[in-house]
Amino acid sequence: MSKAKTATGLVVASAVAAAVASTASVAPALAEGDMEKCYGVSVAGKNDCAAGPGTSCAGTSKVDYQGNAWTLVPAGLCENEEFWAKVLPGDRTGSLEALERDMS
Amino acid sequence: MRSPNFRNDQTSFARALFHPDEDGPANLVDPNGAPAPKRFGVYRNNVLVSLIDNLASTFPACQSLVGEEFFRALAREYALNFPPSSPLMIYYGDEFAQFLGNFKPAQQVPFLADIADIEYKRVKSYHAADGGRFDPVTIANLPQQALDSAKLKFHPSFFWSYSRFPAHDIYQRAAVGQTLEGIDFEQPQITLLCRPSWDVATAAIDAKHKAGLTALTAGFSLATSVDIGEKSDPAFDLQDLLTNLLALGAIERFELKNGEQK
Repeated sequence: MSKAKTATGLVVASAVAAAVASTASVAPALAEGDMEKCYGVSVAGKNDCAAGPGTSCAGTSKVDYQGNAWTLVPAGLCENEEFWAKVLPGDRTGSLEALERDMS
Repeated sequence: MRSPNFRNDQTSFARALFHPDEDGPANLVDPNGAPAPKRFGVYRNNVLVSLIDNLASTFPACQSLVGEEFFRALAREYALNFPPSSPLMIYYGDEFAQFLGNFKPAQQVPFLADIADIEYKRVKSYHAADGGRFDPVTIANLPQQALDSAKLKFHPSFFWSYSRFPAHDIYQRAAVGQTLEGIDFEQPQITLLCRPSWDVATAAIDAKHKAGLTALTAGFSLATSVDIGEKSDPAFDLQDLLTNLLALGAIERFELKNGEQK
């Protein structure tokens, strides 16, 4: 019994070590930074999805430009007030953090 | 003004929407009080078309495999038999893969249901919560046995799909409208899906991992999963499986037994 266990221990440990080593050297195929979450710019029902428990999920915003609903936009665009002045009514602009305005 | 039989009217209205062969709801009238079957017909058609469009946008590879005309006929059949059960239209089509597997005319393309399964899981993965990224430091310098009893904590957006066909290869070709020329249809395949950042990534792994991966996703320890995996297929290879999962960002961390978590 204990012998078999030791054998598995080695198998698992070396497999994990080898797998971790071989993936650690690979640059993660993730391109963060080209998009950012932008709050307060989604049209009702067209928001992207939740950041986790406690926040609302995709397609659930009830009013236009709801402050706690977000949409992915190209990085840098969210806080570009000139851009939002052209596309959003009133003096609304995007925000990288959830807003209190336009709640249902 | 609400008619006294509002509830009945609503039920018959909803029923008529999904039974185009039947007459419209009996009490439906236009502003002049005349029966309005044509107006209802237009509305009913719009509802159906929007559901079919919705399925077409969730299952583009399926549509590319069978052609638009046949796909829309399948989607119409599905929409009539499986109306939406949730107002979240992004998740419409949760039973489409199963429907295709049971629906005779769809069986001309035997792998269609498996492709639909991948496409639906892609949507689920896309809308899943954000998750953490694996940090090798968390398992550095552990005694060898510690990993035996460890379980994998998967990323919330991780899904997988087994097919007795090379479904991932087919999916990738069909998604961009390429032909299936040269594909070996005898090759079973597992498709992995995960969204470690903004976009869903997919990868294919050998079907020999099926039992082991089933065990890991069911919450069995690494050692037990190796046993299960090897019993089912002697070629099961934990290192190969873990390498693929880690490369995709599908593993958040190794959950060690009490007190061993660093």
